[in-house]
Amino acid sequence: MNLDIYNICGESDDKFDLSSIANDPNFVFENDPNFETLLLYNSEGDVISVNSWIECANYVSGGWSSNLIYFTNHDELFFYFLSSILLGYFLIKRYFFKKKENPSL
Amino acid sequence: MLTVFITVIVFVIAPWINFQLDDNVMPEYVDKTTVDFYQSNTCKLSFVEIQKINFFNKNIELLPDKFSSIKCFGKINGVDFFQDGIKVYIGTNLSIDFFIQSFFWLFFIFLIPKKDQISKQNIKPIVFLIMSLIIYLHFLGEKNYYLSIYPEFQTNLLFSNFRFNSIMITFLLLLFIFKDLMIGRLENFINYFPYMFLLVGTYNTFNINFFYILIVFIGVFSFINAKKNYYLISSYLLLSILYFYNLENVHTNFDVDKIKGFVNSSQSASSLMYWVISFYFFIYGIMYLINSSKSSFDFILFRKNLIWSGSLIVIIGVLSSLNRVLNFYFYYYLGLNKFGMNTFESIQGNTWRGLSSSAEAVGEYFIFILLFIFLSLFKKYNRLNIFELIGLLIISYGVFRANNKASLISGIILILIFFLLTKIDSLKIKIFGFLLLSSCLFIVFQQVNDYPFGYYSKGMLYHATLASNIESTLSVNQWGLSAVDDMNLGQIIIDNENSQSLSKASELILKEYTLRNNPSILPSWISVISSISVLINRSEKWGIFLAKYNPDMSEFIFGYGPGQISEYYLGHSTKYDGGLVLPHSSILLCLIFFGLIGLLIGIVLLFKTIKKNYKNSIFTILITYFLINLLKSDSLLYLNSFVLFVFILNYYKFEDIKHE
Repeated sequence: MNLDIYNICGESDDKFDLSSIANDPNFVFENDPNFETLLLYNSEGDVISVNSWIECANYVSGGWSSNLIYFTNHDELFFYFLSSILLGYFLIKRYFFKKKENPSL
Repeated sequence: MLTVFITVIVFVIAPWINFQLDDNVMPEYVDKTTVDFYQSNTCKLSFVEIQKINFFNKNIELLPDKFSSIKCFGKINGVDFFQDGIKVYIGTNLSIDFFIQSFFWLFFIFLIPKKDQISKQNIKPIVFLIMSLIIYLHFLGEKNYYLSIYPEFQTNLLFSNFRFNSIMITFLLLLFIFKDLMIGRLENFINYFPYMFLLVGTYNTFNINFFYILIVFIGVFSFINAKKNYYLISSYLLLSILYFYNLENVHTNFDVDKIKGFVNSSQSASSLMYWVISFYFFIYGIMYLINSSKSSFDFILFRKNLIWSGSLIVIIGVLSSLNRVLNFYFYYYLGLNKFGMNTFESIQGNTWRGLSSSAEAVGEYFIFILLFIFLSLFKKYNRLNIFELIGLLIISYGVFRANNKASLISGIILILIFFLLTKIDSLKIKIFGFLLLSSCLFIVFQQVNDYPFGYYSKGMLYHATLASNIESTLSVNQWGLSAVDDMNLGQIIIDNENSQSLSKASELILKEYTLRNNPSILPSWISVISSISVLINRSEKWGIFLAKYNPDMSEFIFGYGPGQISEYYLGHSTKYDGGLVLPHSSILLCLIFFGLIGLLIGIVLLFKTIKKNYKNSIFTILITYFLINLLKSDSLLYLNSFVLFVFILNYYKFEDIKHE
């Protein structure tokens, strides 16, 4: 079993041929009441919910993931992180150190 | 202690931990059999995870994967098997490197004690604006260097260019924090600068040096606050115009290798502008630091820091060579230009450079420390304590391993001369001493260089022709020897007339040597220089310099500009276009950067300074030591050695000679 499928969707005793599902555009996934609904994300930021193990396995094999960070633009995140530090630095300097210099204020 | 603890956790441990653990991929011992496991599980295991079972693994070589994304920073991004070992690539990233390394090194500035007298510096916002423009010019001019690391590297200032914006924000943060740290410490920097030889400060993925940025920053703010010397500024402006006139705008990507951070990688107008502007402020910054530290220079503290920095270089160099994990950490956190040696064995049969990127430069530094300490003892400053004596022993071991014979011999001779001049009163004994010294020196050189007499006058030229791309055009004599093999310089000129295979420098020197009309019994100046080069084992390196140096008249007179080595290196094709074969003489480097005019002005100013201050014995001995060694070494290409040289050049400002 694909390791990503195992990690995201869990274990399944049933044997499915995922390629046959991919080749069938009319395939309908049936809900599995015993399967806890999962949210999956793709690189575009789209979200879907899957309600059965086979549906989950199908999407994961197509590149979807349960972890949004997996697809996040890390450069963008890092930029916001640095911007926050810069802002924090000025705020601390302005309010904390000013007060320290002039305790009466 | 809390600050040390937090710094270690945040900047040394956290970056290499994997916070997205995958329990299905467990680290394995890296050997030939597990290479495929690591190849199919890239970016899943962290550096810390594999350390647990590979800390003492001697079969691996840990290298940074400079092309890594932020997501894979600190993770194992590839493993390759080679005959000489297994290379493990650890993800590093441009933006993260700049952040981690900058803040880790700022922490060491924070450790410098504040002086009692705290003078608040008036740093105007325009300083930050100028600094941002300077660094922007760098990225613009050396874009090819960064494109080779990140193919999608962009320098546009759009909001969505997050990577570049992150770099600029980190840069501003670095300057803002440094500005605060400077208060009260600025006058104390001079006492701690020997640690620049340990903490080199070159970024892993940038062609920038941390200390260069900070000194340029000091230069900019001092320039803005100081009274301007318009004569100097206009002279430099005029020279700069000539550098631009000389520039052949080619967007090269010169492999800066071990001189990363202090030379250009690209031959572009914006790169030249960056180096011209930043170098001016760099010199301004050093001079400001020196002049503002005259009263706060502490001879004993400086000596102590010399000993500690020297011994730590040796100790960490040994540790780095014994353990591959430590070798990687020291490379990254000390900002080394090049990885420390990963073996304890000497290279090329005799030298061991340890942590330093150059055995020659570090050897020079070690002997400088010993020389300085000897002179300090002579001048009856405080005696050394037991720890300092142990430090000296460690440094002596470093001297032995670096095997810089020229520095050692020059150091010993200078000590003997110093002793003869200051301790001996009898003129006869002085003359006898000098004669004995000269004879010993002559015998040593004679023993070391056992070459035929003719080789001395032609050795350098022989190597120049050997390095040039001329072999295919040469005729062969009846013994099957080409004119190069036969050192038939006249034939070489005839064979290569108008072929442009020889550089302009080689052609000029060969013609001057061969076709000159010299009725005098004195040898030509070329023979003298060649003989010196053979005696000090520099005939090959200076020959390669001649083969490469191909300036037109204006470039020869005014130079290519500060830090502009790529035009010299790539401008004329030779057999040494790959790798990094440097001229091995700081005088030749000055000729490349500042031309004949710059070199002559430098020499005149230097001798004027020496003439004015020769009574200051420590200054005279130290500057002589440096001048002898710079003749045959590239040390001025290393930022720390350059700063040390400028410091020694101004040492007379610190030393009180009233009691001499």
